[in-house]
Amino acid sequence: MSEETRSLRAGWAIFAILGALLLINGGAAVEDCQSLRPVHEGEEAPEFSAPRIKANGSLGREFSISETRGQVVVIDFWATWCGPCEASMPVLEGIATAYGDRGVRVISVNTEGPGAAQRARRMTDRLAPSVELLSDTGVASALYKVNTIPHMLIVDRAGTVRWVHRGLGSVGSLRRDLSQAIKALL
Amino acid sequence: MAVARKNSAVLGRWSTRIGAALVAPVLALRISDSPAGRGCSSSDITLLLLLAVVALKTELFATAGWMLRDGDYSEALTVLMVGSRELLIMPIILLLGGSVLLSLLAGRRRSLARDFDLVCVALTPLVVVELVHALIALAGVDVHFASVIVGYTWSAALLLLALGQARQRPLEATKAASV
Repeated sequence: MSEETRSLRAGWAIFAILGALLLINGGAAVEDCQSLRPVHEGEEAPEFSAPRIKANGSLGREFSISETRGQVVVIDFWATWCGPCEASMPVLEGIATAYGDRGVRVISVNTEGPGAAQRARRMTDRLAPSVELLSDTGVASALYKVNTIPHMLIVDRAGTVRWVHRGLGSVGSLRRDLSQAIKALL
Repeated sequence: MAVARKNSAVLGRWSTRIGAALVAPVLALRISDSPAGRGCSSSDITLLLLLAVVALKTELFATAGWMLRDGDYSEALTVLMVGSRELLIMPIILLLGGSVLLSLLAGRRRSLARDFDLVCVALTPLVVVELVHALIALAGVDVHFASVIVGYTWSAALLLLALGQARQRPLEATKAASV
């Protein structure tokens, strides 16, 4: 068999592999299409629980989103290495101090797992000491389809997602949008 | 005459050029280094990587589609870029690093653009092995370690062949290319 014939056949074999992968993965994506939809406004907030990170950086008792029914909850998914997350933390601190006495809870979910708990605690104590800090092993992030961080949501008193924000944009616009969304729910 | 005919037959189609990198690497490297094949291998590997992203990350496209529907245009783009990064980052690093290494080792016959083309050919097996690995993994068989060994060894062997090709260039050709 000549080199060009062998090359052509090898090329077609690569096409076949690509086609098979596209068919299988594409079929799965079509089948799971609804579950791939990011959590959006109007949807019920997915039920999740995650351990709290205590003041000394160790993991404490579990937090469950169901315990916040009747309250307005701001949920922020973040990581210690994420610059925009760090920049947004003082905004969350401002929300927690301004609206905390009106029943608004700010929940900060660190997405790096228990290994980063101490680091997350130190950063939160420095930038947003009034927010509640949780450690996520990936379950909550998967439930909320967190693909990029920071990823913030506001859940109303009935447990429905009312506002979703991905990325930072600017600190000023985040502060304004977050405040407006909370005021509308109080 | 026969060699020229063979070269043009392989040169003509994307699938043949990509296939040649696997089963006739010396021919693929020679064509990639020839004036007629210049730039082909870089566009070939780019197309192969893009197709690999589409085939392996279909759920990302579905998620991005939902985001587009919800009006999150920039977020959809971000999701695609972040999701593709894990697949593309290593090939890009190897392409750039390999080109510099090849140019350094080629001595007086170096030509950065042509060396880059040669490295594009050398990288093809790595991408193809990753595709085969993904297909096998879908069947529930974990061959990740073996695929890494095979992919990198195969590409390293082609990189050595590429070095041989680069060092065989006539000096006048490299001068002409650099002009």
